[in-house]
Amino acid sequence: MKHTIIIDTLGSDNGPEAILDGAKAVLEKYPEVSLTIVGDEKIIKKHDLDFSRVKILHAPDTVTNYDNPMLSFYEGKVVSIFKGMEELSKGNAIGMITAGNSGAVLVGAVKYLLTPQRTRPCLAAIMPNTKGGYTALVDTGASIDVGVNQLHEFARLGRDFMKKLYKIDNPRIGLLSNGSEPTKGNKLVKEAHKVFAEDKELNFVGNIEGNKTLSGLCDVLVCDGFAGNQVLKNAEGMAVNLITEMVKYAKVNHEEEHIMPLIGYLMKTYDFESLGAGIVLGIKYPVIKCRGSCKKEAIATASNVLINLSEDKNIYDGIDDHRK
Amino acid sequence: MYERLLKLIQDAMPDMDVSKANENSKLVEDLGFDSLALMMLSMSMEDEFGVHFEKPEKFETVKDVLSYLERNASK
Repeated sequence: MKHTIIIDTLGSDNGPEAILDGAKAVLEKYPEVSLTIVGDEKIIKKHDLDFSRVKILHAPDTVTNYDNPMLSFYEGKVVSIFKGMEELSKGNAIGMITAGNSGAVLVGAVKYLLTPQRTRPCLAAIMPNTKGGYTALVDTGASIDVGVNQLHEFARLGRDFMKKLYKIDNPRIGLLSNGSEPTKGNKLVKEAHKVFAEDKELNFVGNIEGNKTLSGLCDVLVCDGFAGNQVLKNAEGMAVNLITEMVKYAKVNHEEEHIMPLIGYLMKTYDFESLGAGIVLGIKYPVIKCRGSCKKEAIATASNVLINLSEDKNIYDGIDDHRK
Repeated sequence: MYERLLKLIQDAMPDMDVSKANENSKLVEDLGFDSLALMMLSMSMEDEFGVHFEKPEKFETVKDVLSYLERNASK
Protein backbone atom coordinates (compact mmCIF):
# COMPACT_ATOMS: atom_id res chain seq x y z
CA MET A 1 0.00 0.00 0.00
CA LYS A 2 1.22 3.44 -0.87
CA HIS A 3 -0.25 5.29 2.09
CA THR A 4 -1.52 4.45 5.55
CA ILE A 5 -3.92 6.77 7.31
CA ILE A 6 -4.88 6.50 10.97
CA ILE A 7 -8.56 7.06 11.71
CA ASP A 8 -9.80 7.52 15.26
CA THR A 9 -13.39 6.27 15.49
CA LEU A 10 -14.28 7.55 18.96
CA GLY A 11 -15.40 10.88 20.34
CA SER A 12 -17.64 12.05 17.51
CA ASP A 13 -21.22 13.21 18.10
CA ASN A 14 -22.57 10.66 15.63
CA GLY A 15 -20.83 7.67 17.14
CA PRO A 16 -18.17 5.38 15.68
CA GLU A 17 -20.49 4.17 12.92
CA ALA A 18 -20.41 7.55 11.17
CA ILE A 19 -16.62 7.56 11.21
CA LEU A 20 -16.51 3.94 10.05
CA ASP A 21 -18.79 4.87 7.15
CA GLY A 22 -16.15 7.46 6.32
CA ALA A 23 -13.41 4.82 6.58
CA LYS A 24 -15.34 2.64 4.15
CA ALA A 25 -15.66 5.53 1.72
CA VAL A 26 -11.91 6.14 1.92
CA LEU A 27 -11.11 2.50 1.17
CA GLU A 28 -13.46 2.53 -1.80
CA LYS A 29 -12.19 5.81 -3.19
CA TYR A 30 -8.45 5.26 -2.70
CA PRO A 31 -7.35 1.72 -3.62
CA GLU A 32 -3.74 2.59 -2.75
CA VAL A 33 -4.63 3.48 0.84
CA SER A 34 -4.64 1.25 3.88
CA LEU A 35 -6.10 2.30 7.21
CA THR A 36 -5.17 1.91 10.83
CA ILE A 37 -8.49 2.21 12.60
CA VAL A 38 -8.41 3.02 16.29
CA GLY A 39 -11.29 2.40 18.69
CA ASP A 40 -13.40 -0.40 20.07
CA GLU A 41 -12.34 -3.53 18.21
CA LYS A 42 -15.76 -5.17 18.57
CA ILE A 43 -17.54 -2.24 16.93
CA ILE A 44 -14.96 -1.88 14.19
CA LYS A 45 -15.12 -5.59 13.29
CA LYS A 46 -18.90 -5.44 12.91
CA HIS A 47 -18.63 -2.82 10.21
CA ASP A 48 -18.63 -3.68 6.52
CA LEU A 49 -15.00 -2.90 5.60
CA ASP A 50 -12.31 -4.41 3.42
CA PHE A 51 -10.31 -5.77 6.35
CA SER A 52 -7.46 -6.88 4.08
CA ARG A 53 -6.47 -3.18 4.08
CA VAL A 54 -7.29 -2.44 7.69
CA LYS A 55 -5.24 -2.76 10.84
CA ILE A 56 -7.20 -2.36 14.07
CA LEU A 57 -5.76 -0.75 17.18
CA HIS A 58 -7.99 -1.57 20.13
CA ALA A 59 -8.48 1.53 22.27
CA PRO A 60 -12.03 1.59 23.67
CA ASP A 61 -11.77 4.71 25.82
CA THR A 62 -12.51 8.28 24.89
CA VAL A 63 -12.20 11.78 26.34
CA THR A 64 -15.53 13.54 26.71
CA ASN A 65 -16.09 17.28 26.84
CA TYR A 66 -16.50 16.95 30.60
CA ASP A 67 -13.11 15.26 31.10
CA ASN A 68 -9.82 17.00 31.71
CA PRO A 69 -7.74 15.82 28.73
CA MET A 70 -4.46 15.94 30.66
CA LEU A 71 -5.87 13.88 33.53
CA SER A 72 -7.36 11.46 31.02
CA PHE A 73 -3.90 10.93 29.65
CA TYR A 74 -2.59 9.69 32.97
CA GLU A 75 -5.65 7.76 34.14
CA GLY A 76 -4.50 4.51 32.62
CA LYS A 77 -7.36 4.32 30.15
CA VAL A 78 -6.65 3.27 26.60
CA VAL A 79 -7.82 6.44 24.87
CA SER A 80 -8.18 6.18 21.12
CA ILE A 81 -6.83 9.66 20.32
CA PHE A 82 -3.65 9.03 22.31
CA LYS A 83 -3.24 5.51 20.93
CA GLY A 84 -3.55 6.82 17.39
CA MET A 85 -1.04 9.60 17.98
CA GLU A 86 1.41 7.19 19.56
CA GLU A 87 1.16 5.09 16.39
CA LEU A 88 1.59 8.17 14.23
CA SER A 89 4.69 9.21 16.19
CA LYS A 90 6.38 6.01 15.03
CA GLY A 91 6.12 7.19 11.45
CA ASN A 92 3.71 4.38 10.54
CA ALA A 93 1.25 6.61 8.69
CA ILE A 94 1.02 9.77 6.64
CA GLY A 95 -1.35 11.37 9.13
CA MET A 96 -4.30 10.94 11.43
CA ILE A 97 -7.96 11.94 11.37
CA THR A 98 -10.02 12.37 14.51
CA ALA A 99 -13.34 13.93 15.48
CA GLY A 100 -12.58 13.62 19.17
CA ASN A 101 -12.07 16.15 21.93
CA SER A 102 -9.94 19.12 20.78
CA GLY A 103 -8.15 19.41 24.11
CA ALA A 104 -7.20 15.74 23.96
CA VAL A 105 -5.93 16.21 20.41
CA LEU A 106 -3.61 18.96 21.62
CA VAL A 107 -2.47 17.03 24.69
CA GLY A 108 -1.70 14.04 22.49
CA ALA A 109 0.10 16.26 20.00
CA VAL A 110 2.30 17.66 22.76
CA LYS A 111 3.00 14.22 24.19
CA TYR A 112 3.79 12.44 20.95
CA LEU A 113 4.30 14.86 18.09
CA LEU A 114 6.26 17.88 19.30
CA THR A 115 8.94 19.12 16.93
CA PRO A 116 12.55 19.43 18.10
CA GLN A 117 11.92 23.19 18.31
CA ARG A 118 9.12 22.46 20.79
CA THR A 119 6.67 24.65 18.95
CA ARG A 120 3.38 24.98 20.78
CA PRO A 121 0.72 23.43 18.51
CA CYS A 122 -2.17 25.50 17.19
CA LEU A 123 -5.32 24.81 15.21
CA ALA A 124 -5.93 26.16 11.71
CA ALA A 125 -9.29 26.17 9.95
CA ILE A 126 -9.62 26.59 6.21
CA MET A 127 -12.40 28.95 5.21
CA PRO A 128 -13.65 29.53 1.65
CA ASN A 129 -13.33 33.17 0.63
CA THR A 130 -15.25 35.24 -1.90
CA LYS A 131 -12.24 35.49 -4.23
CA GLY A 132 -12.58 31.78 -4.97
CA GLY A 133 -9.67 30.82 -2.74
CA TYR A 134 -9.23 29.83 0.87
CA THR A 135 -8.09 31.60 4.00
CA ALA A 136 -6.47 29.81 6.92
CA LEU A 137 -7.70 31.07 10.25
CA VAL A 138 -5.04 30.56 12.92
CA ASP A 139 -5.63 29.89 15.85
CA THR A 140 -9.16 28.52 16.27
CA GLY A 141 -8.98 27.50 19.89
CA ALA A 142 -5.72 25.87 20.96
CA SER A 143 -4.47 28.92 22.85
CA ILE A 144 -7.04 31.21 24.43
CA ASP A 145 -4.71 33.67 26.14
CA VAL A 146 -1.71 34.51 24.02
CA GLY A 147 1.00 37.13 23.73
CA VAL A 148 2.71 38.77 20.80
CA ASN A 149 5.31 36.04 20.38
CA GLN A 150 2.61 33.43 20.14
CA LEU A 151 0.67 35.42 17.54
CA HIS A 152 3.90 35.84 15.60
CA GLU A 153 4.40 32.06 15.72
CA PHE A 154 0.83 31.55 14.44
CA ALA A 155 1.62 33.84 11.51
CA ARG A 156 4.75 31.90 10.60
CA LEU A 157 3.08 28.50 10.95
CA GLY A 158 0.10 29.68 8.89
CA ARG A 159 2.39 31.08 6.22
CA ASP A 160 4.34 27.81 5.92
CA PHE A 161 1.11 25.84 5.86
CA MET A 162 -0.45 27.84 3.01
CA LYS A 163 2.85 27.82 1.12
CA LYS A 164 3.07 24.06 1.28
CA LEU A 165 -0.56 23.18 0.72
CA TYR A 166 -1.67 25.78 -1.80
CA LYS A 167 1.67 26.47 -3.44
CA ILE A 168 1.30 30.18 -2.66
CA ASP A 169 4.77 31.74 -2.98
CA ASN A 170 4.32 34.46 -0.42
CA PRO A 171 1.08 34.06 1.53
CA ARG A 172 -0.55 37.29 2.65
CA ILE A 173 -0.85 37.55 6.40
CA GLY A 174 -3.67 39.50 8.03
CA LEU A 175 -4.26 40.29 11.67
CA LEU A 176 -7.81 40.21 13.03
CA SER A 177 -8.74 43.55 14.57
CA ASN A 178 -11.63 45.93 15.09
CA GLY A 179 -10.35 48.36 12.49
CA SER A 180 -8.04 48.30 9.50
CA GLU A 181 -5.77 51.10 10.76
CA PRO A 182 -2.58 50.10 12.65
CA THR A 183 -3.79 52.13 15.63
CA LYS A 184 -6.90 49.96 16.01
CA GLY A 185 -7.12 46.92 18.25
CA ASN A 186 -6.49 46.02 21.85
CA LYS A 187 -3.02 46.30 23.34
CA LEU A 188 -2.04 42.85 22.11
CA VAL A 189 -3.16 43.45 18.53
CA LYS A 190 -1.43 46.84 18.34
CA GLU A 191 1.81 45.30 19.56
CA ALA A 192 1.43 42.38 17.18
CA HIS A 193 0.84 44.76 14.29
CA LYS A 194 4.23 46.38 14.92
CA VAL A 195 6.02 43.03 15.18
CA PHE A 196 4.39 41.65 12.03
CA ALA A 197 5.20 44.81 10.08
CA GLU A 198 8.86 44.64 11.12
CA ASP A 199 9.22 40.98 10.10
CA LYS A 200 10.49 41.17 6.53
CA GLU A 201 9.82 37.46 6.03
CA LEU A 202 6.09 38.00 6.50
CA ASN A 203 3.96 39.39 3.72
CA PHE A 204 1.89 41.33 6.23
CA VAL A 205 -1.11 43.07 4.67
CA GLY A 206 -2.35 44.70 7.87
CA ASN A 207 -5.40 44.47 10.06
CA ILE A 208 -8.50 42.69 8.83
CA GLU A 209 -11.90 43.49 10.29
CA GLY A 210 -14.42 40.84 11.26
CA ASN A 211 -16.69 41.57 8.30
CA LYS A 212 -13.78 40.96 5.89
CA THR A 213 -12.68 37.57 7.18
CA LEU A 214 -14.14 35.79 4.13
CA SER A 215 -13.22 38.50 1.61
CA GLY A 216 -9.96 36.96 0.46
CA LEU A 217 -7.87 39.94 1.54
CA CYS A 218 -5.36 37.58 3.11
CA ASP A 219 -4.32 33.93 2.89
CA VAL A 220 -3.71 33.61 6.62
CA LEU A 221 -5.76 35.40 9.25
CA VAL A 222 -4.06 35.48 12.64
CA CYS A 223 -5.83 35.85 15.97
CA ASP A 224 -5.90 34.34 19.43
CA GLY A 225 -7.77 31.08 19.91
CA PHE A 226 -10.71 32.72 21.66
CA ALA A 227 -11.40 35.17 18.83
CA GLY A 228 -10.67 32.56 16.18
CA ASN A 229 -13.17 30.17 17.63
CA GLN A 230 -15.81 32.89 17.65
CA VAL A 231 -15.06 33.89 14.04
CA LEU A 232 -15.32 30.30 12.87
CA LYS A 233 -18.54 29.50 14.68
CA ASN A 234 -20.11 32.83 13.80
CA ALA A 235 -19.36 32.27 10.11
CA GLU A 236 -20.85 28.81 10.25
CA GLY A 237 -23.90 30.01 12.16
CA MET A 238 -24.48 32.90 9.79
CA ALA A 239 -24.20 30.64 6.74
CA VAL A 240 -26.76 28.25 8.23
CA ASN A 241 -29.13 31.10 9.16
CA LEU A 242 -28.98 32.68 5.71
CA ILE A 243 -29.60 29.39 3.95
CA THR A 244 -32.49 28.58 6.31
CA GLU A 245 -34.09 31.96 5.62
CA MET A 246 -33.69 31.49 1.87
CA VAL A 247 -35.33 28.08 2.01
CA LYS A 248 -38.25 29.56 3.98
CA TYR A 249 -38.60 32.40 1.47
CA ALA A 250 -38.50 30.04 -1.48
CA LYS A 251 -41.23 27.86 -0.01
CA VAL A 252 -43.56 30.67 1.03
CA ASN A 253 -43.24 32.40 -2.33
CA HIS A 254 -43.18 29.22 -4.43
CA GLU A 255 -39.79 30.18 -5.82
CA GLU A 256 -38.07 26.83 -5.23
CA GLU A 257 -37.26 26.34 -8.88
CA HIS A 258 -35.24 29.55 -9.06
CA ILE A 259 -33.79 29.73 -5.61
CA MET A 260 -32.92 26.13 -4.79
CA PRO A 261 -29.96 25.96 -7.24
CA LEU A 262 -28.48 29.01 -5.52
CA ILE A 263 -29.06 27.43 -2.12
CA GLY A 264 -27.33 24.28 -3.33
CA TYR A 265 -24.36 26.37 -4.46
CA LEU A 266 -24.13 28.16 -1.12
CA MET A 267 -24.46 24.95 0.85
CA LYS A 268 -21.55 23.45 -1.06
CA THR A 269 -19.43 26.58 -0.77
CA TYR A 270 -19.97 27.07 2.94
CA ASP A 271 -20.12 23.43 3.92
CA PHE A 272 -17.34 23.58 6.49
CA GLU A 273 -17.57 19.85 6.98
CA SER A 274 -16.51 18.90 3.49
CA LEU A 275 -13.50 21.23 3.66
CA GLY A 276 -11.66 18.89 5.96
CA ALA A 277 -12.09 20.76 9.25
CA GLY A 278 -9.13 21.94 11.31
CA ILE A 279 -5.49 21.01 11.00
CA VAL A 280 -3.06 20.94 13.89
CA LEU A 281 -0.03 23.05 12.97
CA GLY A 282 3.44 22.96 14.48
CA ILE A 283 3.77 19.19 14.95
CA LYS A 284 5.80 16.42 13.30
CA TYR A 285 3.01 14.70 11.35
CA PRO A 286 -0.33 16.06 10.14
CA VAL A 287 -3.39 15.56 12.29
CA ILE A 288 -6.80 16.64 11.03
CA LYS A 289 -9.41 17.43 13.64
CA CYS A 290 -12.86 17.04 12.12
CA ARG A 291 -15.88 18.56 13.79
CA GLY A 292 -17.59 16.41 16.37
CA SER A 293 -20.70 16.32 14.19
CA CYS A 294 -18.83 15.26 11.07
CA LYS A 295 -20.12 12.63 8.69
CA LYS A 296 -18.43 10.27 6.27
CA GLU A 297 -17.79 12.96 3.66
CA ALA A 298 -15.53 14.83 6.07
CA ILE A 299 -13.43 11.72 6.67
CA ALA A 300 -13.04 11.19 2.92
CA THR A 301 -12.08 14.84 2.38
CA ALA A 302 -9.60 14.76 5.25
CA SER A 303 -8.01 11.63 3.79
CA ASN A 304 -7.66 13.39 0.46
CA VAL A 305 -5.91 16.28 2.20
CA LEU A 306 -3.47 13.91 3.91
CA ILE A 307 -2.69 12.12 0.64
CA ASN A 308 -2.07 15.40 -1.16
CA LEU A 309 0.10 16.57 1.71
CA SER A 310 2.24 13.46 1.57
CA GLU A 311 2.58 13.73 -2.20
CA ASP A 312 3.31 17.45 -2.05
CA LYS A 313 0.26 18.25 -4.15
CA ASN A 314 -2.06 21.18 -3.82
CA ILE A 315 -4.25 20.38 -0.85
CA TYR A 316 -7.51 20.25 -2.75
CA ASP A 317 -6.36 18.37 -5.85
CA GLY A 318 -8.92 15.66 -6.44
CA ILE A 319 -11.72 17.53 -4.70
CA ASP A 320 -14.39 19.02 -6.89
CA ASP A 321 -14.31 22.76 -6.28
CA HIS A 322 -17.58 23.86 -7.86
CA ARG A 323 -16.62 27.53 -7.66
CA LYS A 324 -13.93 27.22 -10.35
CA MET B 1 18.78 23.43 37.88
CA TYR B 2 16.72 26.59 38.41
CA GLU B 3 18.15 28.23 35.29
CA ARG B 4 17.48 25.11 33.22
CA LEU B 5 13.93 25.02 34.49
CA LEU B 6 13.40 28.69 33.65
CA LYS B 7 14.53 27.97 30.10
CA LEU B 8 11.87 25.24 29.81
CA ILE B 9 9.25 27.56 31.31
CA GLN B 10 10.17 30.16 28.71
CA ASP B 11 9.83 27.58 25.93
CA ALA B 12 6.37 26.60 27.15
CA MET B 13 5.30 30.21 27.61
CA PRO B 14 7.03 32.23 24.88
CA ASP B 15 5.30 35.45 25.87
CA MET B 16 6.25 35.33 29.51
CA ASP B 17 8.91 37.60 30.94
CA VAL B 18 10.89 35.02 32.90
CA SER B 19 12.88 37.70 34.64
CA LYS B 20 9.72 38.38 36.63
CA ALA B 21 9.42 34.77 37.75
CA ASN B 22 10.77 33.55 41.05
CA GLU B 23 10.54 30.38 43.10
CA ASN B 24 7.29 31.50 44.71
CA SER B 25 5.58 32.34 41.41
CA LYS B 26 2.39 30.36 40.88
CA LEU B 27 2.41 28.63 37.53
CA VAL B 28 -1.22 29.28 36.66
CA GLU B 29 -2.11 32.47 38.53
CA ASP B 30 1.18 34.35 38.17
CA LEU B 31 2.80 32.93 35.07
CA GLY B 32 -0.35 32.29 33.03
CA PHE B 33 0.15 28.56 32.42
CA ASP B 34 -2.74 26.72 30.79
CA SER B 35 -3.11 22.95 30.54
CA LEU B 36 -1.26 22.80 27.23
CA ALA B 37 1.69 24.74 28.65
CA LEU B 38 1.77 22.47 31.70
CA MET B 39 1.84 19.46 29.43
CA MET B 40 4.63 20.99 27.35
CA LEU B 41 6.63 21.72 30.48
CA SER B 42 6.16 18.13 31.67
CA MET B 43 7.35 16.71 28.36
CA SER B 44 10.34 19.05 28.31
CA MET B 45 11.28 18.08 31.86
CA GLU B 46 11.22 14.40 30.91
CA ASP B 47 13.78 15.08 28.19
CA GLU B 48 15.88 17.63 30.04
CA PHE B 49 15.99 16.08 33.50
CA GLY B 50 15.29 12.40 32.82
CA VAL B 51 12.16 12.32 34.98
CA HIS B 52 9.08 10.33 34.03
CA PHE B 53 5.55 11.30 34.94
CA GLU B 54 3.24 8.36 35.62
CA LYS B 55 0.50 10.67 36.86
CA PRO B 56 -0.11 14.42 36.79
CA GLU B 57 1.83 16.17 39.53
CA LYS B 58 0.15 19.01 41.36
CA PHE B 59 2.66 21.77 40.82
CA GLU B 60 1.39 25.03 42.19
CA THR B 61 4.58 27.05 42.27
CA VAL B 62 7.98 27.05 40.58
CA LYS B 63 9.37 25.88 43.92
CA ASP B 64 7.11 22.78 43.78
CA VAL B 65 8.58 21.91 40.40
CA LEU B 66 12.13 22.43 41.63
CA SER B 67 11.53 20.25 44.69
CA TYR B 68 10.18 17.50 42.47
CA LEU B 69 13.20 17.75 40.19
CA GLU B 70 15.62 17.69 43.10
CA ARG B 71 14.05 14.42 44.26
CA ASN B 72 13.67 12.75 40.87
CA ALA B 73 16.00 14.18 38.24
CA SER B 74 18.54 11.77 36.80
CA LYS B 75 20.28 14.27 34.51
